[in-house]
Amino acid sequence: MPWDIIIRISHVIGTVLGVGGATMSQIFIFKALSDGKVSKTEDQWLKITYTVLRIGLVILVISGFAFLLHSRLEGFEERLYSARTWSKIIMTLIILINAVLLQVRRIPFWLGSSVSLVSWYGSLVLGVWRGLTAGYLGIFSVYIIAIFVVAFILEKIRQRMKISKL
Amino acid sequence: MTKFLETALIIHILLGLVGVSSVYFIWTGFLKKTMKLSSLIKSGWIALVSFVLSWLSGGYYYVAYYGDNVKPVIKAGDYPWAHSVFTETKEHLFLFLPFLTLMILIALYFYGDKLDKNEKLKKSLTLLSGITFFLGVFITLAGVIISGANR
Repeated sequence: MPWDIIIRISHVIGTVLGVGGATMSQIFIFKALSDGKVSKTEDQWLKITYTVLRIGLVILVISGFAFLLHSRLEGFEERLYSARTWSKIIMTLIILINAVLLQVRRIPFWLGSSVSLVSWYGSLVLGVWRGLTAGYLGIFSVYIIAIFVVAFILEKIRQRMKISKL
Repeated sequence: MTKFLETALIIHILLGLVGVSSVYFIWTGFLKKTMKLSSLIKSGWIALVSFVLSWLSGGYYYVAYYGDNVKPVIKAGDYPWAHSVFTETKEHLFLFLPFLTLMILIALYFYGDKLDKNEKLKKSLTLLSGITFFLGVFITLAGVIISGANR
């Protein structure tokens, strides 16, 4: 199997695990807190989901850099300067920093959850949308709007499920 | 580029990534309420060995290939600052990474079991591992900028 196919498959697997992990962790958190307390089983499910998410992130980062390296070695250096590539790199960095901020509680939970979800889905969309011509301003304008839209939706779900403020 | 040089470049990038990821693990480990010392020491070793090997393979690539083949192309191209700013900064900054990691590792060996009681030292090590992580990220991204300018 050619290297570029192996790299692409790995990148897709990493994204799927990461996006799936981020989505499921949000669902599990809401479900776990719907009765006001996190049980031992729920805690275990959350830990498993975070592990899947972390594995996805590692695969995504390694395959992402493998893809950049492949582009460099095959003479497609212009890919390394595209807004799509750098937006994905920045969103991945935001995921990493957001995880730290959530851990030390320096970011409100509603914002941290939304940043995590939008960054993961943002990376997915940018990865799939190969013909995208938008620049940094366009991509990050949509990204910031999406963070607040998703935060609003999560807040509505929280209220509907009668979960106390996180 | 010969197969050997290609391999050196691949090793340089992959081990650099492994090193930065391990430092991130150490950083988030320090931020946890209860940290597992043995995992932090293991990650410290992985980071140190990865950075040293990435140093050596990157250094070999730089001396044997970059100077004569890549640098002139970048300097004559549309992005000469990729070399004058990023390569020049990277080749000095990346010297710090193994030493910073070694400092973290030494602190973990000698004071690891006292960190829960010594809040000041824990904070300092958290800061040091955070700085090492961000330096590693900067160096990694500088590599992308330099590679992209080679046209």
